[in-house]
Amino acid sequence: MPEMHEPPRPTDAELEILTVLWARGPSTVREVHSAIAQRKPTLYTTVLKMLQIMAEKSLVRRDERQRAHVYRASQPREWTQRQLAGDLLRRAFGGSASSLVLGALSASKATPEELAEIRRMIEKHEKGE
Amino acid sequence: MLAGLVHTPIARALSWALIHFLWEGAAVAALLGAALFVFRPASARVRYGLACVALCAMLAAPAVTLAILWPRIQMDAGVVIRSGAPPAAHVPAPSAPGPPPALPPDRLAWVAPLWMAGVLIFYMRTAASWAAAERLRRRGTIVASADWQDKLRALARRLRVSRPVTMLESCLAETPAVVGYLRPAILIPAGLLTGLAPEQVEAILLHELEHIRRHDYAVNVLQTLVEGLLFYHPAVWWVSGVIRAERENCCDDAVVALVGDARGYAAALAELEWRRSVGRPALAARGGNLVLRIRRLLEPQGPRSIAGPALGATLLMASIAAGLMAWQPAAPSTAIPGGIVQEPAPPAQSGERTAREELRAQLERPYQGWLAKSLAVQEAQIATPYEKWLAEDVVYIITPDEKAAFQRLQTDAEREQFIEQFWLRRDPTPGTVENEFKEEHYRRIAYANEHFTEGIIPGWKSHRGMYYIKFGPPDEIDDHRDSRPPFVAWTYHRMQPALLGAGEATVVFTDVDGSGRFVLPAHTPASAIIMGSPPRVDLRNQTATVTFNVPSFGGPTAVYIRIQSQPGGKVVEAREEASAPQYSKSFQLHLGSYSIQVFVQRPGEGVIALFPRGEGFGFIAVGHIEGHATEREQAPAADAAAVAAAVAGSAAREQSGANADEHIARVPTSDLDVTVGIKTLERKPPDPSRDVVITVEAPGASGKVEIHGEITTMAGRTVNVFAEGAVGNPYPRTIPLNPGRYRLKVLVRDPMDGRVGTRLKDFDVQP
Repeated sequence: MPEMHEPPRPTDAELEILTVLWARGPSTVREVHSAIAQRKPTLYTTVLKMLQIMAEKSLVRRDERQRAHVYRASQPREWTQRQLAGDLLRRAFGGSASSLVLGALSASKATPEELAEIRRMIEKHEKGE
Repeated sequence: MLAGLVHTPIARALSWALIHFLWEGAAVAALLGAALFVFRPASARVRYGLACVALCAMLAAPAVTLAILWPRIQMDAGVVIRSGAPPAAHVPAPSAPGPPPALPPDRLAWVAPLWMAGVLIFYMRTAASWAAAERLRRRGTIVASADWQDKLRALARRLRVSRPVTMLESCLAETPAVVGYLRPAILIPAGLLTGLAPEQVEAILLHELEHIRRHDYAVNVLQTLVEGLLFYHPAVWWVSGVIRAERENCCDDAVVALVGDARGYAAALAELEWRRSVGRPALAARGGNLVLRIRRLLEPQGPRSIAGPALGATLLMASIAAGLMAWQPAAPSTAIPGGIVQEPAPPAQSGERTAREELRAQLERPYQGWLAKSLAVQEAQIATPYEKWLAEDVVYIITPDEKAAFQRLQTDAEREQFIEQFWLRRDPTPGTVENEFKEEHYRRIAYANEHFTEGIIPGWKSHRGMYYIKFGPPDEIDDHRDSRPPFVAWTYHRMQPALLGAGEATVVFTDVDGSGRFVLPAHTPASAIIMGSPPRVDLRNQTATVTFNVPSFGGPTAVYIRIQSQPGGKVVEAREEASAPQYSKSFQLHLGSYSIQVFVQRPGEGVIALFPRGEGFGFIAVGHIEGHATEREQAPAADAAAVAAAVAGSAAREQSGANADEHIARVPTSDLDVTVGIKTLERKPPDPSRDVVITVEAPGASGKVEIHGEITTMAGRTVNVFAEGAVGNPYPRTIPLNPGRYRLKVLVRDPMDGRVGTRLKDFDVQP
């Protein structure tokens, strides 16, 4: 069974296709192609070929029940982050982009206690106290 | 060889400058701590500015010190600069003449190279971070859909961000983030756009755009460089932390100012954090700063915990300085900023109370929730009389095209001209001096302000005022202020402009929270009621049986059915609780025409119309039950049922649409034949969607017709609803659709004789 062993680390081009599937959900080749073609000219057949290769690598799964085959990512999005966490630079410096990018949330995650506190505060105000 | 370098005068001067920075940095931090304490109630922007000044001062301090020390050290040529320094004990008296003494193996001199090594490590780390950030922009990202790009551009315009911003969906970003300065990109974790409510995504985008507008990315890079340069001083990290925290606060404030809903925004941030932490909570015990930010959002004047860190930092600095002085007695005595240390004041009771009052005031705005933001934004931006004209006087009646045209105008003369034309176009009697439309419009505004002002909300902005100004006085007002919760139902027999085609509509305003403000049902949290199926009415033996699926609220649901004979006659009502998934109620009725309204009330919440239609309006379609005794006696019951179903105004939404359609064809008097033509046009590749041209025709109609239409997927999800009053016959309409199978339901009404016809058609859009 190909599902049994973990798929290999995706290449950058494969990652882009996976992103489409994670962002838009299960998609047809045409949908994936139109999402990717927005940024760079890509042939429909290239996307098709890549999806077929990725299906062989069990990075994606193909649903053949419909006329237009629908592809979906075989792993959750978080999986790639673990896969790519092994980058040399990351390992060497223990850092990441987090100190330079600006986000709506800080780089450090909230602890479970903090999450509980936040939930409590919002619920309190929802009641209109 | 290194030793040779280490003992050059510049290295010594640098070492001393770095050591002096220990107390200098502490002093600056203490000053900042005191300033922040004094400016506790000040805006985040002021506090951010103070922290930035402090960081600049920290950068300047060692530079100035170096500039002062270097010439002196060069002059002294190796004489220990401070006469009282302990190493002096081991060297000949400084005043002793003779050859410059061989420098002692002064441990101090090693400070400079060690510092350089540290800076190098930090800068390599920064470079790695920068590379990682750039990779984050390129790897595993796709451009967000055109809809979102458009929305982003609109938001950017609103914030007056001039640089082009791209929106990328990324599979590597854990949280929404801004990358890059010259060509900034907003990264959104893949799947978030569909996972969060659009208003929540919008608020997050506004936060990120505010970072871009404020040039925060560049400031943050510079700040990181300063941190690396002065890495050894905890005070630098503390000040930098204050800058980061206040920067987020600044952006939070900007978002709240724009959308006007602190609570909704706080909930969006919390939702984001929950999503990120699902299954993988923080490993570090210190966690983030989100608790503080959310507390700040929800309790705007609440106590801030800045005094705590300030005190801690000050004490830390003081102890470092004290230790330094014990070792280096001649260090300036001002090193102990003890005098500046302030006890953190206990949280002021009065301060807390005002926070709560403020929050209550905030909650009391009827436009709580996101739907209000357009008004809130307009309010914030009104400056000139022309802007006021646009945002207040004509906000409900100006068309989007007119609005866009008005906003393009450059001079006040053009605007005056436009306003004159605007009213002229609407003047029902163009030849006369009076403009009845304009007079009526301003009369309605005055009436709304007089009758519908709710607390601090002027009448023209209340929901009832909105309807009054747009549609005029209702034909009927049903006052249910004594029910629980209180509600008022306005019925328009002929709504102008017709939003629902048929023009007949009931709008329900509910006082959801007992505050005395009546708001539209779509503004209540239970708008999920749209899931409920519309009622079906079955007529047998002069009995009308109303049947519908009760939306599941996990508790008893109150149902209120009101049947009124037409025109405007006797009312039959039923009010009871429905707990079963299907509700059915029979009414004995005489022959005649009836209108029926069904209200559903979720326990403890607002009254909700069973079929809200149109965006956020919550109309109830009002239908008729018609029947003729002779026909009823002869025709099978199914026919009579079909009449009711056909004319109930909801036939287009009828679940058993196919059956209704079949029956209608056999009803003789109220029948109107409807045909539907469907044509599919390709769009420009690679766009996979198609333009579907739907042509609705009722050959038997006497003139213009009113048309309702609804397109659903085969799974029942509504993808398009249209309603037009008084359109030509045949009526073409173009709708963009993705490939797939759809069901179209149309209802056509002839306004001249009230005949109604429906048509149901399934069709495919080929990929």
